[in-house]
Amino acid sequence: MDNRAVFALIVALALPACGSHTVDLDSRVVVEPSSDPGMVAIVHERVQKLAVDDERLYWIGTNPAVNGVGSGWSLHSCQKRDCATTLVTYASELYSTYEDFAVRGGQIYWEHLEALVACPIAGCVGLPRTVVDALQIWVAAFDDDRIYTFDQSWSDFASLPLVQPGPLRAVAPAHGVTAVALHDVYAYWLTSKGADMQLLRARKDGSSAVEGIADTVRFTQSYDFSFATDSTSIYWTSNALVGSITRCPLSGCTGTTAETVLGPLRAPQKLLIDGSTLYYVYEAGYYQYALARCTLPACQSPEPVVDHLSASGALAVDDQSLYVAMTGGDTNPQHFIEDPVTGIRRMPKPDQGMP
Amino acid sequence: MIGRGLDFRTLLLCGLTACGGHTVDLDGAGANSASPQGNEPPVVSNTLINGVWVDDQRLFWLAGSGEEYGTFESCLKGDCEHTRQRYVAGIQWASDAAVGDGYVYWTRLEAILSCDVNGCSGKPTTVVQGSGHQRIFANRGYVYWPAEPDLYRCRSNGCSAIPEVVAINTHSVTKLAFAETHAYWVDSAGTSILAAPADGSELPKLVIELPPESAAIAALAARNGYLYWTVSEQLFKCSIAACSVSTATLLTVAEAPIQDLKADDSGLFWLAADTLHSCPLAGCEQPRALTPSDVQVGPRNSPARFALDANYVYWIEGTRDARPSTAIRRTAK
Repeated sequence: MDNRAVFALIVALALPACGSHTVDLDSRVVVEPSSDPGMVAIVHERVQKLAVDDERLYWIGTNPAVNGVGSGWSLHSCQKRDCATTLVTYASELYSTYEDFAVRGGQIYWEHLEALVACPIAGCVGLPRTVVDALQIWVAAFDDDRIYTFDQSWSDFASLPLVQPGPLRAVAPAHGVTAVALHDVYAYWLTSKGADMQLLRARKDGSSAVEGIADTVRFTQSYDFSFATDSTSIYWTSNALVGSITRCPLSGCTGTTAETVLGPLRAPQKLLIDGSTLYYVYEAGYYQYALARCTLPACQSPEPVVDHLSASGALAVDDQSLYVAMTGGDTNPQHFIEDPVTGIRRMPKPDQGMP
Repeated sequence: MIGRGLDFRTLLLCGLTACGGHTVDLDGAGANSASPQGNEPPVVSNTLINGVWVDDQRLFWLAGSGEEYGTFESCLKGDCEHTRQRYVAGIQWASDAAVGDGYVYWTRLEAILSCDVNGCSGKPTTVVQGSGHQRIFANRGYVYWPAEPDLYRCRSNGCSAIPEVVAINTHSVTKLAFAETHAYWVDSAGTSILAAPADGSELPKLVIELPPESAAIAALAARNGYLYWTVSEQLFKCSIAACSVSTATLLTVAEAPIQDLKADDSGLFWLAADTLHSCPLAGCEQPRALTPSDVQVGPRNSPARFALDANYVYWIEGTRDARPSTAIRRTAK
């Protein structure tokens, strides 16, 4: 089935339930309702990132027309069971080095004009709260009360508090950080070592020495990179054109070879672990984002889930369901699409019935 | 006598320091090379050339209109004026191309495409999309390309979504040569030569590792069981069967840093400054200048700036103000 046919199917399944629709800050229709129980929303954006909590679905969408120039992005949320009438738009940004967000403690955090800002998830009342000023974020990870990041003007990989202003707390000296993950009391980060990349860890509070976790991590900036952890291992996407999903014990495998969990895969990118299920996004073809899953630890017999994600980060899970953003349109981020349309769908997780 | 009985490290350091940039004049005959031969009229002219290739029958070139976009074309060597054919138009000026075993390859945005050398007869073959290529190379019916962080290949008629992996973590290979069943490349730091089977069936092995203080390897070629490489003005060889720094032989010292090197059965040919020179495969005390000092130099990793067939060396005539060139000329070897 080609892309157009897939999207025709998506839209056909999503007949409008009524005449209502929600209007974005820019007076553009962003969310359309649907009578398809599996369709959470149809949005006139290219959905790049998805997240979900007990009540709400959050996403970053790009739509060049919203901002008139470039590829601006917007940050939204809605209630999972009634998205079309509960839309909240937190931000419409023209540019950011960090096109991501985090939801912690009833607040949603993102970067705005080289500052970390936040709003209540119910919506901003006035301007967003500035959490940290003069902070250029490229990569970050959040725990309940701190952001872990690296600003190129710093000499340390460090953290900052989210709720009350407070001093920078170093995790470890660093000259650059390419990706960050948190697990328990440890922070893991990817950094360069000559021409290669290495994976390191240290205690989040900076009280430990830096430990090597893996040498010679295969990495390219051409594709998104992702970490994920479970109770025993840290997983990452060796995100080359011919890549793989790789893991090491949480305590590291320096001196031994990291284990290839699955591969070869074309450009594996986003990882998400939900219990014993590993979800992974890779390219089935040129900018054709496919989602598949397998059961850990063996990850044998991977199972395809969907073939036309709108972006590598367009998936999320809650206790009941898997959420994916799908499109039949062009997903090459370098192409201008006048009116991108994405369907956000709710799908059953393994061993779960339809929601 | 260069290349016989001299210590490699001594010569290397000499080339890097005290003797840098000058031909070693061991017989007192002077440092200048032999006089260039007379040139024929341009084989291709009235266009802007960014790369030249040749096979038994045809001459190939990347050309530009002087604006952003260009073409990839060829002609029969015996009658170029009346046999020109165009494989593609509208490709980016920075595109790369390669020719080998009856196929032409070129890059366009994020794809590598191919056609039969005699023409595309319809649509070109998309060998791979989303290649991430930095350069492309042709060998035995395959196109090879480095894409961070690896080295890949596909058959000329295309490959599935997943190309073949020749080697991983090679990082930005810009100098790649083939001999028999193996591929040889210079690492990203320019201080090592590595080798692996061209089909990627074995892990790479280190062939040469220069001393830490050495200048980078600037060019690499392989021919008849030997590897040839250059460091600054120096040109070395070693037998592939037993290649190491200690077994390497200094073949010659050029007048200027060598930027591009090719080898065939008739000898070694290189670009140094803006002149092409040659030397027998066994080495020479005084390289022979083949061209006037008017060869297009261009960026270090730009597509091929000269090409060899059985009788001629084809080269891009440069311009003094460093604008793109205007003609392909040939000079008898």
